[in-house]
Amino acid sequence: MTAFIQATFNGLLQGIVYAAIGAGLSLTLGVLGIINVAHSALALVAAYLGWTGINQLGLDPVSAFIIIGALFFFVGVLIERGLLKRLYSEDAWASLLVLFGLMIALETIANLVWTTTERAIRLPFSAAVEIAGYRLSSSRLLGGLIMLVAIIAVHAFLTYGRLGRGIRAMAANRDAAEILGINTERLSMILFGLGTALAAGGGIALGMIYPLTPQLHTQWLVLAILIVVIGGLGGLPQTMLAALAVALIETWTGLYISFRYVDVVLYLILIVLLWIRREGLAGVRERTL
Amino acid sequence: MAEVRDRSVHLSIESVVAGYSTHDVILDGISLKAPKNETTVILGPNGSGKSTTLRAILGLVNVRSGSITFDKAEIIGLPTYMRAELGIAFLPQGHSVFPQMTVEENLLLGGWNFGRDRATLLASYERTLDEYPLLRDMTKRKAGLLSGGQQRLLEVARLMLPDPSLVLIDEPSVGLAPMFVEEVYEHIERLKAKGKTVIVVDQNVQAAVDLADYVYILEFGRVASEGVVGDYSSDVGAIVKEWLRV
Repeated sequence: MTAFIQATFNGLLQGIVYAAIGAGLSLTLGVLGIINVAHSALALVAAYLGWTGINQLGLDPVSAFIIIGALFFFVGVLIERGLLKRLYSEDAWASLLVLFGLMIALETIANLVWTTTERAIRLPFSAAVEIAGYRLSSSRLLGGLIMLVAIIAVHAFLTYGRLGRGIRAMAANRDAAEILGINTERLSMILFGLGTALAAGGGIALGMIYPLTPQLHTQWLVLAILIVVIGGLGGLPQTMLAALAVALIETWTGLYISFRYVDVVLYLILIVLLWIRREGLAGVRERTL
Repeated sequence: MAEVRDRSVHLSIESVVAGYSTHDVILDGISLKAPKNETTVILGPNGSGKSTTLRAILGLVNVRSGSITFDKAEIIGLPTYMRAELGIAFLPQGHSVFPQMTVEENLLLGGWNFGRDRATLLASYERTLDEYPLLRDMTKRKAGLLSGGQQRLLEVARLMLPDPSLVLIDEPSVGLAPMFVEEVYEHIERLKAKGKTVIVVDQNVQAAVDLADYVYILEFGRVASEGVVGDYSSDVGAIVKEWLRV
């Protein structure tokens, strides 16, 4: 029983980190209609920067999250301005192709700068903390809590803020929003920045749990897509629930069956879901908006 | 009506050529004027460029040549959202409420251009609810759950919230249950009474002409015929039908 509770807690914390990665993807798909395949590659580069900052430069982890998160907000803004802005009126695959190129470029950069040697972010404190007799992984606890705060902040921004209201209007009907005087270009930029910052934070948090290699982002991307398919694009609470479900399925499969079957179980679920709903990502978009 | 009207031009379109892709021409050198505080009605068969004319005024279609001036300033090249800041409002064909958002949120979005000035926004919001009291009881309801007629009312109220000076209306009765159609034209009458400049594009010839001060008939992306409606006291519909056969 102790093992179950411990694993479940650690799974939930990991789920919050997954939610951060999934949220960025679902926001850009839901509002801008863009499938950002470079999303997880951005998260990976952020994670490597976290490794450099924490392991090499001795930065404390919380500052690393804040600095790199803020930096990646602007990276997202630049990508949206420089690469995507002109492609909204084109077919969806035009932006998909551009982002695929960006993904390859980012992976190559990761390869050149950090090499293929595994890099694990080491925290400057003990690996586990004991709370009420249960041992929790301190990296999961730190990453999970920081990402929980970040996701709640973004959710509050979207739900209660003026700009958030504008972004939701833009998601529902871009022309109608623009006609009311909403500068949708500016809001797209902010939204893409937020999604990229969330990805960066999620990347650093995952880098504290698993060692980094330059190809790791493909696994993260599939994970993010899985979360979007399960959670839909209705909002961050749904994304959070989907991510927690995925993490718990992973955890319990690892605990009771074998960690080797984790991916098998997850993708069987994905296949069954897609089969039941008979729709792809485009269908996900229509269902929720 | 002995009332003296200010016939100064509010919006002017001069020889505008426009289309959606590079090889199609939907507006082929159209020219028209909308005088201040008057209702200008644009009629014409399907595909004559009525709706595209409105989309050109809003900046939603590429204008290749010509000029569109609003309050004597050129607006071609301005992004759509800036035209809203200038005081141009639009009631599109079909539904344009944000269905997942509440009536209150929809209305507040109408006042987007007040920016961070919450006091003005809330004052305009209250004034709008006073003018459209039916909406007051449903502010917390999701707009998507309202009836078609109520959604139209919400759209009219939303576009009136920032007190625009020019209101563009595209096919106001399309897709509405017949019982609401009359109500919509009453709303348009009220816009006129409030001193707005109104441009209406319509298939519903009789209803639109009843509102009109001046009528343009389009054909193949140009003005085929135009006239002052007030001059004809008898059957305006018949006259317009004759214009349509030109």
